[in-house]
Amino acid sequence: MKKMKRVLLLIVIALMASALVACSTPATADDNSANDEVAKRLGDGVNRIGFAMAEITGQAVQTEAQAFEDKAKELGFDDVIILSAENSVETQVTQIKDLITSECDVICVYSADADGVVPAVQACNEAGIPVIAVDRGINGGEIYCTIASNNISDGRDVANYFGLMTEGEAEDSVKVLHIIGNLSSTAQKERADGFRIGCENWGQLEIVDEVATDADADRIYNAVVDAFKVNPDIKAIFVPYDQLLSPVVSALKEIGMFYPAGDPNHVMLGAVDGATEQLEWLSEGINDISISLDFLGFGQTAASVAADYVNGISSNDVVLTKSIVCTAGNVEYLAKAGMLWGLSE
Amino acid sequence: MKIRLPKNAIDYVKPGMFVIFIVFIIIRVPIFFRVDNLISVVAQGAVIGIASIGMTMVILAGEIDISVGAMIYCSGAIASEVFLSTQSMVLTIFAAIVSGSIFGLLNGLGVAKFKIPSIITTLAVSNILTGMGSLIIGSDSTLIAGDAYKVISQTKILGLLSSAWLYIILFALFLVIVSKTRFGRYIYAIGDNADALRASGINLELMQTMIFVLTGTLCGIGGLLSTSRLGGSQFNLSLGTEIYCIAAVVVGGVSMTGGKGSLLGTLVGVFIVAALDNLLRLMSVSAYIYGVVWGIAIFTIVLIDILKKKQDIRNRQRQILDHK
Amino acid sequence: MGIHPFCAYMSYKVNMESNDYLIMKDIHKSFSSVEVLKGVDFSVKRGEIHGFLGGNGAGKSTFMNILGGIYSKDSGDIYINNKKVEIANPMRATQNGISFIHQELKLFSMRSIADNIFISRLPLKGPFKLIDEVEKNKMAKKWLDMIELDVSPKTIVERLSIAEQQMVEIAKALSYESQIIIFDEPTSSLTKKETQTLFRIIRKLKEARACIIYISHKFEEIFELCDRVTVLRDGKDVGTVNVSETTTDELVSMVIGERLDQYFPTVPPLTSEENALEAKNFVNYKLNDISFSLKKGEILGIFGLVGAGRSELARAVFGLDHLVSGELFINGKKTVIKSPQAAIRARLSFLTEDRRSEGLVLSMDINSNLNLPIINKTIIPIIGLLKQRQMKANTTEAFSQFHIIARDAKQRVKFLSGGNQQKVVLSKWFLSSPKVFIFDEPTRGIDVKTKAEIYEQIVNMTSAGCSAIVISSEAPEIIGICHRILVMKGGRIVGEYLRENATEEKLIKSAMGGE
Repeated sequence: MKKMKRVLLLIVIALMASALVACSTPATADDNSANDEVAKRLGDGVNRIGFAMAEITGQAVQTEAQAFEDKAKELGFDDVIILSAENSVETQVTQIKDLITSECDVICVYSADADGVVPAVQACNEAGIPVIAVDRGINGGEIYCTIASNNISDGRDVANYFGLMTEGEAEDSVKVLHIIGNLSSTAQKERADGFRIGCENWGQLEIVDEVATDADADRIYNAVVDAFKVNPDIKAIFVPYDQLLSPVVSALKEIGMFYPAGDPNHVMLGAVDGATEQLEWLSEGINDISISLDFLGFGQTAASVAADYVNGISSNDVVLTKSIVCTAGNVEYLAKAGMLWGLSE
Repeated sequence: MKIRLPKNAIDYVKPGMFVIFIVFIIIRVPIFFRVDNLISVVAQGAVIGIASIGMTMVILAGEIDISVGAMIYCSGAIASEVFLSTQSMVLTIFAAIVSGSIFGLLNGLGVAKFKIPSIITTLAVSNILTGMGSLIIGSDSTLIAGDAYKVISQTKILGLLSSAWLYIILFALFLVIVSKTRFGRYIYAIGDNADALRASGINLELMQTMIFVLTGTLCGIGGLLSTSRLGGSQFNLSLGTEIYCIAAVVVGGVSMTGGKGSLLGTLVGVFIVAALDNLLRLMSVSAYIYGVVWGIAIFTIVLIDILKKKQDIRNRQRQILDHK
Repeated sequence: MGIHPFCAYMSYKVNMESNDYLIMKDIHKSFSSVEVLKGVDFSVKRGEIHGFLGGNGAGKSTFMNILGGIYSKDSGDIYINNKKVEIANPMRATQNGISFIHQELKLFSMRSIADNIFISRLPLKGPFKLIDEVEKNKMAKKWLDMIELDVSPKTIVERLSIAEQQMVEIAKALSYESQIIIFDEPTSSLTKKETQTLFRIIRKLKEARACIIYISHKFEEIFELCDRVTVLRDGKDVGTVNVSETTTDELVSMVIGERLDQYFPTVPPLTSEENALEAKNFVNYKLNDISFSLKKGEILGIFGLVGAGRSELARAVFGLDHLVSGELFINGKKTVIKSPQAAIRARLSFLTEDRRSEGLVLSMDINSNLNLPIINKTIIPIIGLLKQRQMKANTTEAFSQFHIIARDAKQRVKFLSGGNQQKVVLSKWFLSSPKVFIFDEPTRGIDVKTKAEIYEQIVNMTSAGCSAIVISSEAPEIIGICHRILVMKGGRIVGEYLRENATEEKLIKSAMGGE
């Protein structure tokens, strides 16, 4: 028994060690430094750029990471380090400090928490390394440049679409269900604010219920089922991002309120992100509007702003990427034009 | 002159609160008592209810299982994946139950065989399963199994959804197992005095493992139902369910140190937890206040029980004094 | 009552040639290179009550745990009814007809009596193998009747008194129809009457030709009950004697290895007339208008049967139980004590009856336990860290002063013998330099030699200026070390004796209300 325990312990230690080694292997370094677009060599003579990401699961972030890496290499960075913090601020702070230690010339941060990451940003400031905030804002420290989507306008665009579609209806006659996602996400909060502002501009839209769901599918499902008991004539539903639409659709089907677009009983569904699934749904008439964020743009812009810095070209404090409003009418064209990250290839 | 409360004032607090609560609901949210709402409360509570059966057994045995949410998540993801690739109902159900049982076995072996405290074992297993579940779902962060998959939980039989029926059947089955069989008696005995049970020649390790395996099996079924309801799985679906289960079990009066309580109590607890959730939504309580209200409600219910227990002890002492 | 209740035992054919039913030969046992048992021989006849004596660390409990299947022996043989047996685990012990009634009860306190007795043999019925509650309760009732315990088998065990719980243990042992029954200090928490009932049942078992092994520290009980007695010392059996042919002095010298002339220390005469502590009109759910005083340097004995309210009085003084009315004066000053913290601040110390659960943190080491009451003094201010060096110094002092026998200060308390645990409790409280000590059954479950040491410590403390209240149900002990003795009964003080004119008979008589 004792021997067995010892063997087990050894195995566990070995596993942990190998996991550590695997994790700490940096993203593949590009040996090809022939590209001389980056003229000035800083510090140790190697142009190194780091990207501390809150997470790297999910199509959108992967698109962002890939675009960043490709663009950075194209612009002549020798070493591109991409780290994932698995949504933990503590991990992210440590990772950013690691990036400082490995003498990155520029550090990009897709923050796990807008406030929690501030100490790490301050550490970068002290080390004289510029910080570029990507996708999400950071609430402190000196940020060299913030690259983000205009979340408020994204939310407002959905409300505007609902408004346009129901133009001419009586005052407060179009009942809207507003599903609130994760309250600790700035982006989701801003989208919610934008959506509210948008609804106010249209007299006929009335938000009858706002439900907190922590972005949990089960709770969204229950929220929709219960909301229709109180207001059986809800005409439109907004969720903060696309993937939260599937529990909404399931719930509508359970209570028999699901009708495809075009049907007079159709409940309009709108969200932000532009995920593959929901873009495909647009043509099937399941949902009505999706705001496709420019994840490709996030990554590429971050890399170019960084390259500009190294080359001594200054940049704006804030660079807003353009989101694209996708509906059944334009989605096919946009996809063909290669403008949607969710429907590339 | 001091105003003196009746001796057993605390006895009337709970029924009193219950009455006020009911009156409040009738006036404020009459929809709550509509048949279709009550039916959906049962359906909404089914997954938590099924997992709470396992949680009750685990807590009665003096242990804790915080991997419940992750087990539901991972076995649900497996079930959706199996359905997606085979379209076979039988295989899907089989996959959910077997995977849940295997996860439970991991917990059981950790606790019973290697003597790792259950909170650590299940925490570790919880992390493993969360990762595994996400791997299965893949980078799309949703896994859609199709509408055919919904048949498992959404079929209506005699006005109730099949998930609710499943809960009722499982509850009845486990009510008998826990209160009427040898195994059930051993569950209580483990939480009461594990050493004494071992000394009675009963295979304690086997019993503990069984409890965790059964909990895993129930979570497997829970995973099947929760994903079937949504027609597939999604990132982090059902994670954190254990908190609701523990709340239901504790509200139901099961002692956290084991040995005392019953599944019937848990049934009441599950209903209260599900009804509270439903009510808060029907009343559209502000997003920010939702958690606060929920927490205070659970805390109050448990507090009353504890105060009542204290009162009972004091009464017993007073009786002795009066007797003299 | 036509059929004798123990007819089950009678069905055995008695083998007249070989008298010894249980034989244990040359038993050896070591724990991590420390030899605890150095070749012990032991045998019990059918229909015999065999006493088993030994000091702390003599290997008594190790030896019995080998018989009970809790430990496995290193070498040696066990024969039961002339057949060699191996007892690998408690279940094998049960199968070999051995029942062990432990000092710490091994019951399921939240289950019914019937569940407790039949937990491993629950009767089943029907196609689904459900528990047959009716049959189970009927069977349990039969065994309860046999031990004259008049309660429903459905009663939850935690509602029973300690004595009744012990009876349940005995009923459980009987229900296995065990041929060999080991009693480990069964009377330590029983009243006189309950003890007599127990003895009657043990004698019945003897009549039914069972082998009884009776472990006890109380010589009176050995003389009253046992036929033979075996004494264990330092891991060896020093001998087996017929009880009818021996004396207390002989047994004591066998236990401690030398003649014990001075069993109790000399108690110095009282010097002060000042009151260290005075209680006036204490009333609560158990106490019925109690007043008493304690002088400086005095050892005050409180005698009474279990349930007389002795422990409750101590608990009330120490702020553990609420008082309905009553006043407390310490050094002549009125003091209100509503919590143990307040009591410690008023420099009172309380050694509870249940040292394992109330007096010690069993899983912590000796060092930490010792420094617990004075933890505030061993903390570096503001930083909150413990002053390790000072703690160690305290511990070293305690080790030498109280003769604690342990591997080192890092040994965890749960692995110490009962006597050494009590010494740890004693020194722990002594470190907080209290003015008044309250001892509740300070020598319960402790061997003669350690008892003597503890008496000496109590007397030493009082000569250093402390006062002490000693609660005990052992009359000789209380007469041996106290200046003055109060007798309690039913929550009242029913008698007061000075040491000079107290006798065992007088105390017991007034405690039982004989006057």
